[in-house]
Amino acid sequence: MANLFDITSKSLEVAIEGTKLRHQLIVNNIANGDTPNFQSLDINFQDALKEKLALWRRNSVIKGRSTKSSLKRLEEREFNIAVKLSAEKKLDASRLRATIYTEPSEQERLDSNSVDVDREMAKLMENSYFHRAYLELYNKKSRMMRMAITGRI
Amino acid sequence: MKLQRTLTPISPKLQKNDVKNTKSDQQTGSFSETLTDSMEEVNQLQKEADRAIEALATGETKDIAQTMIAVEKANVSFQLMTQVRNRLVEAYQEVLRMQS
Amino acid sequence: MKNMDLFTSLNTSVTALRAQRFRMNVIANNLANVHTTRTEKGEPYRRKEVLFATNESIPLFQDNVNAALRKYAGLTNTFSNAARGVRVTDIVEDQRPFRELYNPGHPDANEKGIVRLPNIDPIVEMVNMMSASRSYESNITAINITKRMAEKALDIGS
Repeated sequence: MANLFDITSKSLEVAIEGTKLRHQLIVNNIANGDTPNFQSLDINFQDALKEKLALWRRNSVIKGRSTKSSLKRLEEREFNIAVKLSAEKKLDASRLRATIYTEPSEQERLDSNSVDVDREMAKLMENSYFHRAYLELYNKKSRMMRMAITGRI
Repeated sequence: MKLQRTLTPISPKLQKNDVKNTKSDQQTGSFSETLTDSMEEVNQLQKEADRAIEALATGETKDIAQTMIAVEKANVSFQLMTQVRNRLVEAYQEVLRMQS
Repeated sequence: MKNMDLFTSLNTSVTALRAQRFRMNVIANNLANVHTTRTEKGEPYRRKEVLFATNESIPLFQDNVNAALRKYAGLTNTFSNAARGVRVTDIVEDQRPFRELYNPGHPDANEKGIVRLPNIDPIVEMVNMMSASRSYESNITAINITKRMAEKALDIGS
């Protein structure tokens, strides 16, 4: 745990970046709540992260090499783990490819706008909460690392 | 935690090589064994905290409280171990001073 | 993912605030002119509406930075302008016919005694106003949340 350079920290970094990106998209959805023909966008970085972690674990176990070198090899190759949804754009997030997808709304609006402001607000709250949680966890790890280095609590 | 039980009787058992074991019948195992076990426990808690963090990051769980608790457990046990290490080093240095 | 930060979100929300306020102004103007029978053009006041569009084609400073980074540093994963916000593209006049009222004594009555009144329904305008105000508030909340997230990042290391 007191190691800022292990796979857990990298997962946290990806999660922080992913929630930040999701925040941009949700804020954009809210801003375009009245724009005709606008489709609300979202991103799912968790699945891509999960697949990449599973891949890393499988590689580091099957190949039997040290964890450091296999992680480096993984990072050197480009991993195109696209989430199979109605893809709008592919976006690179910290060497991870997660797809931005459109979310259809439950109600049909006359101006073909698919944004549900209440749902977007709920997503905004939840996403910001997780973003701050990831930041706090990263902070805890870095504090522990510092304590391990200096020996002072 | 096991360390609590071993801390109260602070015996000269700290340095097996330099000091004679005058109270060797006071504890069930040697101090170094207990220390190793506790360190293993700390390591275990660290691994669990790592797993909890990964579960949170990949979205498997949405329970932040559980993750925070696991992380805090790991942190507190690590802090305890660090303090024990600091005290051991101080005691060792004091023992060295005594000898000279 | 190099040039995306939370301040772009602030910009997005600000574009929405500006757009909604503009819309409010237009609605307020409609309401104020609900009885205007004569404008400079000679005919009654025509109801005006705003058109919104996503803000994708307006170049921002960030796009110039991205272009420079792509050219000089070879960075390819710069974010495109997919999440820029909203802008008002046009103010259009509602082409529905004017309301007609029989009032021969009115100065603006035509030879048949009919006065043409603006094609504004105050109830519709009020509903639009509530919608604009609600959108404005949601964007204010979004700004507050963005601010809290950015502040939390400052705590790393302390």
